Amino acid sequence: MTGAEREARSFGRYLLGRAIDQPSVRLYSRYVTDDDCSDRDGAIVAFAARHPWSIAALDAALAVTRPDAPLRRRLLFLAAILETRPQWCDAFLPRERGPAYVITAAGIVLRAALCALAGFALLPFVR
Amino acid sequence: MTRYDAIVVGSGCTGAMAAQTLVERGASVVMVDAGFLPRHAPAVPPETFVALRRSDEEQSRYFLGSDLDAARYRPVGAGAQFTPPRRYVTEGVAQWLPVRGDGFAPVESLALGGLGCAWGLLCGVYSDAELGRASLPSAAMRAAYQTVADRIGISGAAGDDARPYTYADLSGVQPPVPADPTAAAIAAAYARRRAEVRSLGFHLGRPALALLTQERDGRGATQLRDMDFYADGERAAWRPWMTIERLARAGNFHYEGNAFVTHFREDGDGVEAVAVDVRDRTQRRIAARRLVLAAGTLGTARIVLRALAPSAALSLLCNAYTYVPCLVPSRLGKPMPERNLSLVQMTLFHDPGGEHRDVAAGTIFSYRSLLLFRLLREMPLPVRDARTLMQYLLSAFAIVGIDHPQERSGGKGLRLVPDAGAPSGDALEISYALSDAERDAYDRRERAYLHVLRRMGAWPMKRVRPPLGSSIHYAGTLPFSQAERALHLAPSGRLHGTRSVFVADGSGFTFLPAKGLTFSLMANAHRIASALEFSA
Repeated sequence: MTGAEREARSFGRYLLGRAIDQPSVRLYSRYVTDDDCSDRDGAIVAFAARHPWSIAALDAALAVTRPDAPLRRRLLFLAAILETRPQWCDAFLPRERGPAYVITAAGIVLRAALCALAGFALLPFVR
Repeated sequence: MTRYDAIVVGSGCTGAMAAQTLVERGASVVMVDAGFLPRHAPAVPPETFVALRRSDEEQSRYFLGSDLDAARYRPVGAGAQFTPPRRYVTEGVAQWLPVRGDGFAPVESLALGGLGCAWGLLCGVYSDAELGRASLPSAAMRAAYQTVADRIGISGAAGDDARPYTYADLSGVQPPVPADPTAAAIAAAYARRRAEVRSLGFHLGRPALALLTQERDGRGATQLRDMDFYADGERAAWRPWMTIERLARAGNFHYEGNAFVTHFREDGDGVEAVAVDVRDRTQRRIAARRLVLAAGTLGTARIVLRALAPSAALSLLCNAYTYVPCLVPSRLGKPMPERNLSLVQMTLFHDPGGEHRDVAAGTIFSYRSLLLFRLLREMPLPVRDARTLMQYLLSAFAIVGIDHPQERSGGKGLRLVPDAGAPSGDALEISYALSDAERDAYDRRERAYLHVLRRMGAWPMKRVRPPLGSSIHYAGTLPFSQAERALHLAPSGRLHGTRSVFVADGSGFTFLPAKGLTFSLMANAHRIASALEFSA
């Protein structure tokens, strides 16, 4: 398995909560690029791919401080690929929800905030 | 060398309208155009957006492009409508039309049909006050609007408050498509607070669109597949190439493709357009009695400057544009219809004086077919959580675009500068800065919009100001002038200082109203072509 394939599998599981299909992995590996990726950013991407537990925290912290950081660019690139695969379309098309979902939505935002705090603490140690 | 009655430079909306008028008048017409074609555009099956998403294994070809280029991160700017099937619209522009200048990001095209191939189809008739400020003759333009509407076919609502600002008193307009539920929710809130909102100078209603809702002239009605940014198998949306395709069957029309016009030369009793072949860079010369420049405001400026005054500077008008993502809480978690239109759903005009003189135009879109991942990158949340939340929020999501009218003022202009790398040997240098007074005025107006949107149940999330030039509305480089002045146009469109060169695009406008420029550009092109004299 190449580094890009490992990355795609880790990032895919983070985005969807389950293993993603081989064609999506192949597309990601073939077309992902390293535009404007400094050594520091490369280290963050590699760390996230090696330690999947850290992706949520690093992503959340970067979403606030550097939304166009290479890690997020790669996550969004894979999200675009997954969005255009029929087997994952239900994870991206609008969903009907009852009024009580507002509470769940608030919980998601709270979780994101906690992840961001964890990410701020983690980022200085990422090598 | 064949000598035509008229050369039309450019195949966009204005070139197509001018050429049709000239051909119908019996003139022999040659259209000279770079004319890049969609050779590699991916085919899109005739299904709804949702059906394609659920079934087509190959959908990434048209949603993202065969190299997945559309999936790559890009800063906010113009061009969301240039989806992979329409990417050809800007092909060759970086090479053939180089631009320099900080902070101004124009969009141009060398494709067959020009920017008209990606036009949002919004039609707005300028009021008499706006026509006067733009130095356009009211009576002739009114007649021209009707002619253009009859040619391209438009649809719109008959009895709402926006009509005076959209298609006004035009006849033969087809009924509108149904409003989607988010637009309908905003309209319902507007109806409840109509007196209050109107007292603030705002008027809401359905847009007039160059989109057929009933069959006409061999074109079908829109099937509401929510794929309007990707495909149009029915030809429901008017595009300039449709007119050119029909003109090509006339004996007095010739399309000269692969030809990039650089400049012109007048001779004894006519004019010669000098062009470079975009394939092998050989030079071509085309002669005629009259030259009609319809290369777009920026393209025409290049041609005129090269021919007459390479070191001169010209003024420029461009609508400033802001967009505002909004949430309509009453739509949270509700279903979205499978059949829908991706284009403008509602228009919200701001006319504080009620005199139709200083009108800002708001356009309200729902969002689905440009895919979720573009929204995820705008959210300050981890991608995973942004995805989950946006699935919930999307049915309540609306994007409001605000176009500001623009009058002539200092600090906005362009000139040619040498560029050894460009085929023409030059680049366009644009300097365009808003004054503090303009920024304050725009800010005040936008805050008025935000207030009214909240009153109509649409909660603004933030204001996004893309780079200047993103509105893709350019005009005012060769202003109309009754007096004979260099680098100005006579009211007939004739370029002062020439006998046989006419300009049929927006170069002459002395004011740029905010109501979608294209329909007025086409009316003006028809007006100028109608009055063109062929005698010396």
